Amino acid sequence: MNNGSKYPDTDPSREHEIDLGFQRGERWAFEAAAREYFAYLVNFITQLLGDRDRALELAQEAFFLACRAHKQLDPRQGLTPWLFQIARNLAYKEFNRRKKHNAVSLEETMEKTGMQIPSAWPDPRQEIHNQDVKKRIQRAVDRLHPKYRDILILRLIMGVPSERVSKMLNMPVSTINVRTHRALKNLRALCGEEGLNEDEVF
Amino acid sequence: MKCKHCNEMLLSLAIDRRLDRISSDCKAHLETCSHCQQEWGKIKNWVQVLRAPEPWQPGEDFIQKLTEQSMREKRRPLISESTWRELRLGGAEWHWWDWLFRFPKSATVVGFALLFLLVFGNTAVQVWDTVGNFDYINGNVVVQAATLKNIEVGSRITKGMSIQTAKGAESVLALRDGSEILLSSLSRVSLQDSRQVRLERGTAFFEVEKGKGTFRIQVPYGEITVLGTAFAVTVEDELCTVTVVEGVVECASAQSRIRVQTGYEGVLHNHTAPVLRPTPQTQQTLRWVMEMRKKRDTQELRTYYPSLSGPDTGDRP
Repeated sequence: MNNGSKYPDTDPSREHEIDLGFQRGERWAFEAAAREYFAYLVNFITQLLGDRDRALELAQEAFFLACRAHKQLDPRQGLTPWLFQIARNLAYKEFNRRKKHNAVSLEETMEKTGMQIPSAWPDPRQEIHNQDVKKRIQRAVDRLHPKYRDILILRLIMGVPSERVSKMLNMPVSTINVRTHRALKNLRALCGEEGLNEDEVF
Repeated sequence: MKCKHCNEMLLSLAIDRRLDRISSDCKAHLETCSHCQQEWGKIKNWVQVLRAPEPWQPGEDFIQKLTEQSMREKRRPLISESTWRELRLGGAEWHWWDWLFRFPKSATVVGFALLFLLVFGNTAVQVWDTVGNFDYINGNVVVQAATLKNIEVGSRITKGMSIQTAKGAESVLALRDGSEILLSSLSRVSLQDSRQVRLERGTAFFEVEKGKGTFRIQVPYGEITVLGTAFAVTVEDELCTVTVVEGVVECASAQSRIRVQTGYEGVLHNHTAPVLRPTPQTQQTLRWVMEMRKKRDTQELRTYYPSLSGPDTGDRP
């Protein structure tokens, strides 16, 4: 069921068929997996790194690695968490490397992630203020604990349904809901530490 | 219903926009709770602020190319097991230094412990090895099997150290347990422990501290065991004489053992059983001990009163 999210839910039986086909290395399964899951990987990594080109490269790398090791897939575990785990680890390696070398331009990040404040500000001073708010939010997102950062990106930023996220992260839906709530709570606290008043944001 | 559960539901509503997920309890709570009403407004705003406007979607061409490439990749060999494990499990290859970052508190403690050992380790070992120190030195005293270069009053005596006095030289060794060894000239003693001594040659007077365990003296023809007493031991070529000033001493040779009391002396021969005989003039026999003590006391006084001068005769303080 599509519930307003831009990411469709896949039928569980169909998903299981894809898992089995992928494990056997069948072409149709590879194509279906690319169609169903590749966008998740790219968007997740884009939100994490703020670099869509690099996100595309890493998502492809993760997908190809999974294809090469298709026989190792356990159909009981499912393809989605497996694929997401590989992509996530590749992305975090890059994220930590960039964080260490401070190679990410925050402004560039905000432009590429598309994280925007909803309204038009004709006033240049207001625009500068808006950019500052974005930077602080991004800094707060970067400071979140990874277990909350993943969920914040998937649920709040990408708007992926909780059932889908639970499959991707291999966690119960109730845990996802609780962690989403905590992720937002922590983000608000971190935004406060960054000197961001909620009244300034809205 | 608690505000926390209500907020979780409201957040799901703001993200998924599915009213059917909201329970009737939550709706009722929302109508009455002003705090949750405020939170609902903020949650909606946060979701709106954070939501990426347009997620990336692959085109049909891209999917076809990706599939083609995937089929080619499928035929390529697998990557190394360690890299694969790292990607699949998220665990990087383990290096010994990762331990420092994984357990920073333990690493700090271990680091400080190593630093402490590095700085004070040598001193600690020296203190552990010390069995006593030189209390008085007169003449040429030679130390073997030790790193000591300059021997002076107060120098440490360590385990295994062998001390030898030249002709006319004498020394007093103060042991850690409070016992004293007065070493006469042309004598050699080696210390295994503060309660275990080997007299290899010459004469030594032992004043053993009571209540610190058995004090053993090994001599070439036997062993002398004491608990707390004062006595002199003289080692000669064929025999060894033990003169007891106070208490009881047990002398043992390969053949048998005897107990020597105050006023007696035990003689240990090379090939015969030990002999016990009286010594009526003990104080006269041990005059050298009294003289050495006087000299030591004088030397000690000189350290506090440098104006005192004269030879170490012991006649005046």
